[in-house]
Amino acid sequence: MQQPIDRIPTNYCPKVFVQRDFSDGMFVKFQSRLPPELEGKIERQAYESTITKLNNFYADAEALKGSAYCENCFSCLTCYFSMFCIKTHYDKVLDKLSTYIEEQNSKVYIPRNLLLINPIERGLRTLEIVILQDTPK
Amino acid sequence: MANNTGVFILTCSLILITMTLFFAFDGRLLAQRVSPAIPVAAAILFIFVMSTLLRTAFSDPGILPRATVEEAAYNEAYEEQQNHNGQRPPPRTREVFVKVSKEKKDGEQSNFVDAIKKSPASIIEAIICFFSIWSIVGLAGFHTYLIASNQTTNEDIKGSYSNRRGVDNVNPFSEGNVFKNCCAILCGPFTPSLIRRRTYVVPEASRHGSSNGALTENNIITNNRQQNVYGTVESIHIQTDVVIICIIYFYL
Repeated sequence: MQQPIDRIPTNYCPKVFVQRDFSDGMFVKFQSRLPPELEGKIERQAYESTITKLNNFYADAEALKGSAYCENCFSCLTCYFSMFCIKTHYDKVLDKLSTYIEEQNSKVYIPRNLLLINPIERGLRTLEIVILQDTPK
Repeated sequence: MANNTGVFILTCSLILITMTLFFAFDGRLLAQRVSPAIPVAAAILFIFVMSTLLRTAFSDPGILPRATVEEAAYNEAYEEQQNHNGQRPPPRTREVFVKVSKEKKDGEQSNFVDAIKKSPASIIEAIICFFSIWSIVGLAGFHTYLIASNQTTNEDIKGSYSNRRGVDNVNPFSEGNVFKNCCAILCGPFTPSLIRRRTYVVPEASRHGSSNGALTENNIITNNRQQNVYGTVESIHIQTDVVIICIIYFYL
């Protein structure tokens, strides 16, 4: 029954686009309010916990902290050659985030006929949620 | 770099030529007569300038992939419904720049007048240096101010965040204080590129075989990491157009 995620055709499915939340600042953060289109399709708590987790990932990636400064200065000292060998903190977090999204999709969202699209594929501008429909086979 | 590859090559060759001349003539002399530290310092500065220049040239200025047709339609509907409730910040592209440090070339002559008598051309050099240093100092100062206030040149010139008619206008990009702004811009975390510059551009329309894959204005750019595709997709309008054309041809 369960298909690999990237084979699910989403072309003609209705979609919900969760917008960025700029109320606290310019960093990447999505609105944690449940969109009206998804009401009844998923529990409010499950949805909100997913969004909070995503927001925490982005906050960690963009945090201005000592390790981020050190990383930047170190790569500057190596004339940015270190970037060929070492993944940046941001990319590591994005990898963790995409495994988290896959896990959430297979555990929570696909059983409820929903599908989260990783925001990086939409330029971190919106979180796309596809409402999967039964397609005739 | 985009369309200005020529400017980039010119900048690189200007830096390379002046540095080669410096190391071949001045540097050798200065190392012998004054201190070997001078060419070493020049070499370090040269490497720093080149690495920052190359990093700037090869990094993405912050291009966003275009919204899919569905997203644009959804946002329009949403905005109409909300009646511009959510406050959106102004769009911006972050200006990237390179600080080019200039090497001071002091001769350490014992007598200034003697030196001028020996080579009168040095007066001309001094005048040129005097005027050119001001443009460097001016630009460095201006950009330091921009960094400290976390603005772009465009925002500063337009006065986007200056107070107008007594209304407070706060720069939403500012981190709060001057030091935090400097840290955030100069040593902040590396943000990823949101477009996939190193993958092949595949028109998805042609992959799916829905049409001949010719690109038009109605194609939208997508950025699919899972399938490792950075390409264009035909919008739905085009597909309906194709259908209509097919129907017309069918009736003909």
